[in-house]
Amino acid sequence: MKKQLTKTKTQKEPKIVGPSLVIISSKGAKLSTIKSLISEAQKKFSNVLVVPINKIQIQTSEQGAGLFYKGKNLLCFDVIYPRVSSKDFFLAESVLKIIESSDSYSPVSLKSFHMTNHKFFTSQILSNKGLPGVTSTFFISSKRAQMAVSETGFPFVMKLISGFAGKGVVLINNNDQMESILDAVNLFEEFICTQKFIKGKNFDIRCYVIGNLVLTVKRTSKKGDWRANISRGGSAQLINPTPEMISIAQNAAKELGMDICAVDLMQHKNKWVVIEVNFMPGPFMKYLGNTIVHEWVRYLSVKGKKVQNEETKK
Amino acid sequence: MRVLVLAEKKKIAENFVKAFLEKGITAKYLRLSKVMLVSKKDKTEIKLVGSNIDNFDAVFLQARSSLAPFVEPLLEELTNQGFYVNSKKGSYYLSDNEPYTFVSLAINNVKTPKTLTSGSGKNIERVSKNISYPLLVKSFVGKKAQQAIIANNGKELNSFVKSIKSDIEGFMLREYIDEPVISCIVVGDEVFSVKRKTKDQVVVPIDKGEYYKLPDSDKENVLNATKVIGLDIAKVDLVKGRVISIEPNINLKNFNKICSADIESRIVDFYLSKENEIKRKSIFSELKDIRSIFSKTIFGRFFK
Ligand SMILES: Nc1ncnc2c1ncn2[C@@H]1O[C@H](COP(=O)(O)OP(=O)(O)OP(=O)(O)O)[C@@H](O)[C@H]1O
Ligand SMILES: [Mg+2]
Repeated sequence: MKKQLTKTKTQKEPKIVGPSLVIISSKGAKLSTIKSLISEAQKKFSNVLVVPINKIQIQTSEQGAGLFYKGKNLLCFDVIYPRVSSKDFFLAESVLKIIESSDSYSPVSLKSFHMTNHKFFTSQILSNKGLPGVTSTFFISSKRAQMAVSETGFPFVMKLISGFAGKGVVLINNNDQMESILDAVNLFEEFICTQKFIKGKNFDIRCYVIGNLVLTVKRTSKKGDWRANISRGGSAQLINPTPEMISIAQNAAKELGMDICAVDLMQHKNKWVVIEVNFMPGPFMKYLGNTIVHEWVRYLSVKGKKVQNEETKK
Repeated sequence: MRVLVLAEKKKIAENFVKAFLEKGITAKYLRLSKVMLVSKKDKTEIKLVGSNIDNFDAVFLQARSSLAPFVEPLLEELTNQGFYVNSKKGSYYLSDNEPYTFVSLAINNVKTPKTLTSGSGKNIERVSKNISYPLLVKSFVGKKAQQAIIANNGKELNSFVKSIKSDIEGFMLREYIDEPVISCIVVGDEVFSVKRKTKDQVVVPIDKGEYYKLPDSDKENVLNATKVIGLDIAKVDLVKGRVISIEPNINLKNFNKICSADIESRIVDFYLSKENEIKRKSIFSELKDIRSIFSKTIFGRFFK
């Protein structure tokens, strides 16, 4: 039996005609993305609320658990879209857990938050399910580094498990480089994983999974950089996905339990492999305008209407 | 049964290894940092320095919950591969985040004190209207509690919040119940408890505690809590029948003395009772695999 603090307060909320939406935004949220989400959402939802995650009150008592913002009960909304990152871990675990126990629809789950904010965990889950990836290792003592090298060889890529925007992703060519990087890692007590390096590719493919829809973007890195992150000066363009890309992206999203996410692919020995999955992908507005945001909102509104219909049936 | 005892230090593992060996069970200690995970095509491997994971079918794990980012993928793999482990998947993420623990307990009907968590100290006094004083107030940096005080009124709460200069993740307010703390060690369905009085709102150390017989209703609450968090073996603290903390790490020295028990040996018996939960591929089932491969070939008829 699950309990929630929802019922008592429900009556006090004004009755809404269309579905209602809460966007929970990250501490590091980009203002342009949020603005665009609001303006698209206002076309489809009768009530749109953006709540910074650090302003939410998380309450627990013998009656269960609830989420409140300025006196409003967030679990009364039909759709909740948490756009949070590893920076929000402390609050996000509670918030996502409570959303999961409610009747509101969310396109992402707590399990998917844990896995996608952990680059090794993602590789592990996906490769166990037979999805293509590259050899990855994970260890806590830098004494295991040589053991890791025997799996991936040089060069390899070392990543902070929950880095983003290309931060904390470094290429390591030899033992000397490895030793100096490990010194820094030890100093800051960071969790790291390593991955076999995919040579000679200055681009990656980002697959935006939105329900059954897959929109595909090719990201090309800035001259001289091997990383294809937009935030590192890379560029992006929409491309037509191949059936292989679509199937990998959809299966990855399914295994992680996400209706909305972005699956990053690279080409390795003529096959597409998953590099990582993003819980809070940016919509690359500089290159794609509001294409992605529009699709997110459209999908959420369809789900919202379903929740509303369920509610009226009750 | 062959048990791999994984811990951060030998000192923590020693007594457990001894207890297993005394009952004739193969047990070996390995430092947790000697474990490496490798994900490859179609599978993930658990590699051990100086040992082989195939030599074991159960794991006894003792590690700080702050190691959750490493322990969780390890638990995922151990569980997938059919090992019995005392901590279930997800239990380390839970133990490593106090507000998240309380949320999960409350949702699953475990009795806990009322709590309120917020990422910002702004309006905290107004927020605290939903909860009654005195309050235990904690500030968090990352997921670690950084400072804690007991606030008897809104003024004390506000001045605590204002006094914190560093970048914090948030605050948690919890109803403070000024009663003795009951510290419990849970081994499966068994609970060993010690009563610890408070003096000026500070709990006395465990070695100053006394044996306590836990009422059945409290025991039920404790066992429910360990199930929700996913810990077969745990330390749980209670106040007035309400769970105020739960963790995977146990230190048995004082409990054994105060409860005149041999909890290590109870743990070994508990492991023995879990023998049927082990789903490791035995050599026998691997032989069957080979047979099924051969049966598809020309040699098939020899095996039928
Ligand atoms: N194993 C690899 N081999 C070669 N290049 C890689 C590898 N892993 C990552 N890269 C490159 O580095 C970039 C950043 O890596 P990754 O996506 O893991 O980090 P991130 O910081 O999470 O990026 P994002 O902005 O997509 O969240 C990728 O876009 C890709 O171009
Ligand atoms: Mg990426």
